Amino acid sequence: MRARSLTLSRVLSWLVLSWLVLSAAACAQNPAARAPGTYDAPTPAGEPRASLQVTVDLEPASDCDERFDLALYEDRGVELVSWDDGPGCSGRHVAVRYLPGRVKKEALLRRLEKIARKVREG
Amino acid sequence: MKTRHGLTAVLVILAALPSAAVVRTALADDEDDDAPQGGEVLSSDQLSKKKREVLLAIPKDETVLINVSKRDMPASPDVLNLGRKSTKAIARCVSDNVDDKLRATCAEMLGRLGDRSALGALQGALEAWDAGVRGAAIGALRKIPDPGNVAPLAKILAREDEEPGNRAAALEALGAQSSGRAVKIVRDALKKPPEALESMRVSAFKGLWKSRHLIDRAELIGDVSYALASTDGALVLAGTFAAGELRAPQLVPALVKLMKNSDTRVRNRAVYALGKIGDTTATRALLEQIPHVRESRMLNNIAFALERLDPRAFYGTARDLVGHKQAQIRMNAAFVLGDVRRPEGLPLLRGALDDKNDMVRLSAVTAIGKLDAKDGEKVLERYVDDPNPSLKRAAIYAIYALSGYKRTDLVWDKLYLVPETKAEAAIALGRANDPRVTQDLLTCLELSQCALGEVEGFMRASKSPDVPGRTLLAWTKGRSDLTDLVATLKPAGAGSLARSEIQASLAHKAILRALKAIDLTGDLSDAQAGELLTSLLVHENTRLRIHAAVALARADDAAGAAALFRDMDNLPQDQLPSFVRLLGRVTEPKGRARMAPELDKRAAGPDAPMAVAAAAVRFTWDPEQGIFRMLAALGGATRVERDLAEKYLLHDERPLVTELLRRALAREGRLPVKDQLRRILDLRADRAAAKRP
Repeated sequence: MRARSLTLSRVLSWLVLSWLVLSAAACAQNPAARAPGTYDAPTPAGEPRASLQVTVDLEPASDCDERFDLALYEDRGVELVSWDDGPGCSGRHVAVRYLPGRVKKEALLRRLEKIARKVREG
Repeated sequence: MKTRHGLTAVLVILAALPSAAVVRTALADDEDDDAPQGGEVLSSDQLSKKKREVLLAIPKDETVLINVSKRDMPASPDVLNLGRKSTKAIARCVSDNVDDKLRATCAEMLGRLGDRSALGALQGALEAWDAGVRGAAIGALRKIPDPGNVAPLAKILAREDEEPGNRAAALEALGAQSSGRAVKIVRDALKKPPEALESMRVSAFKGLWKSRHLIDRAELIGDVSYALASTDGALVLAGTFAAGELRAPQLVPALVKLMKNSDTRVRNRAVYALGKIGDTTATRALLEQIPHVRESRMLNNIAFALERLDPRAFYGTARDLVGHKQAQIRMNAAFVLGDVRRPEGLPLLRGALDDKNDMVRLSAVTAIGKLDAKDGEKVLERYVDDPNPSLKRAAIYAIYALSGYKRTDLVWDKLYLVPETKAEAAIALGRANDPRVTQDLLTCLELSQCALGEVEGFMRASKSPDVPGRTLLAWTKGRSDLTDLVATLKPAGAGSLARSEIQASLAHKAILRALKAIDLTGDLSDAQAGELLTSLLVHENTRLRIHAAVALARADDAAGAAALFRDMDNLPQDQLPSFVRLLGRVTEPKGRARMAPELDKRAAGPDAPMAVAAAAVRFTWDPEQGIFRMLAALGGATRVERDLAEKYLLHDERPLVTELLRRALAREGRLPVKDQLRRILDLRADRAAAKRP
């Protein structure tokens, strides 16, 4: 009797385990199931912040600052970009608040150089 | 003979009797609503008294509106002033009153209240004999979505004797219910409608579009393709709007075909959508279309689409257009080059400066002023003394803009000192905070000769001692639009004047003026206003109570905060946005801290309009923290939640909010939310562009 119940519980364990594995695989394939991780989320208040001031020349376009922002914000180490009031795409002053625990200043500067025509610190 | 005449007369009278009866009935039908009913004749005072008695009974007696006639019914704003406490009585009005016009009015009020406890009455009213009552109930159910609304709304579609307008409204209302079952009904009505719904495919599509967050992406693209390929012009147009928001490359071929549609609106929207989709396969079709364009709006839309898709192709086309044989097209080409704002436009516009047509030259000068090109200043210098006054004026303002508003002396010498252009030049100089125009701008503001928005920045930044006093003086003379400016300037004596203004306005029943004065006391943190404001917490006018409660809550007054949330819970849903705007005035940390827990409780509650309103207040106070709850609302279960979140996010024009929305868009993985974020940012950009000088 004892041996039989052991076998039953083993079978049940296998079934539960298999179900968990299959569910996880299904979630990995279904974009909707992955959704919770794919949107903007708050950064813990205690996480250290730093700020980088730069002057940039952007790729000229009627929406140049928006294109720059959208490319930069893909990096979750960037918390907030603040622009000067000036118009146009060249010589714009911008302050980038970032999370040094997630992106180092050098890496951030390299990223800025990738998405802007010219970047000068300060 | 006499007898025959008498008989004839009797016959005539007998024959006329039925018509007389009909005429009497007809007259009775047309009877003035305010005419005596039931033989009771009331004076105007008695009527007012009776209406007031009914009004006062509404929160206490749910049967009070059952037997009320249109004559005795209080005005809708007075009933809505009672808030949700009036729901039960209004619901009974819908269910049990026999006057169809009143029932329809009551149904409409229930929609505005948004109280879900009225759903039963509204669903029941869908079976009313009168089409007007059913129509009002459909409208109300659209505003209070619920899964239980789907079946009764579906019945409206099946009803053989239903009015077409009600059927169309029911389709759109079904779309607003955020229900999978409703999606199937509206999709069937779009793609395989029964004969009665054949002409209502547009409403079915609009309903479907309202449910788009429930629909699989591929299916939704299929639905929009179906609309774009339709022979129904209105449906095609609706499809082009949807395509611009959906931005699916699969829609490009259908949109390209529509560039040749006979309806100018469809052509324009198709080009606009192509520009938004940004798929380069559309470039060639857009370029090929240009020689056939006969309208400037279409040309502008094509140019903007090309600028996104292929800047090189854009400038190639623009070169052709600035040299086009038609002056109107040359003028529009210059306009578009200016709006694109890229420095590459300068050589083309420089050529347009030599055009023989004055309007083309004027358009080119104005356009150069918008470019991100320092060299533009030099190019325009030769026009600052041009004999053509329009060209001269445009050149000076263009140089001024290109200099970053530093060339104030140029505007002063060439335009301010000339009487004809002085007033406009003063406003332009005010933009650079030039103190020389202080008196001009004060006078201009006092005499309402310039809009507040044109001079407000100057007034706020001015160091002149004249500005606070003269602004306060104008406010006391009735300029309520200056309330925020007075609040910023804080002139001496403003507090006591605001208090007096509250009392005087209440005595004169000038409620709007009293509200502004109350807001000002709150802005000024006027400690002496406490007693007066507290006395208003029991005023019968809800708006007065709320404004007073907010002013008190700003000073961390517990009674004011408690009164505020009591009224918030009772507010009609359509008044929540103005409530949110009012609470946005609260800047005091202590007042915010007291109210925050109450707001957070409501933001987590089940009533979507209330929850999003509470979240919107928190967002206004602290956008960086509040954005995440607003993003959750954008991805909410119901369309109403999503649309309200969009509305609040659109309303807040601060640059910080734009940044947070861009960050959210860059990281968003939920496609419907991504679409909506894109749409919000586009609308914000359009609004900002419209405000640019």
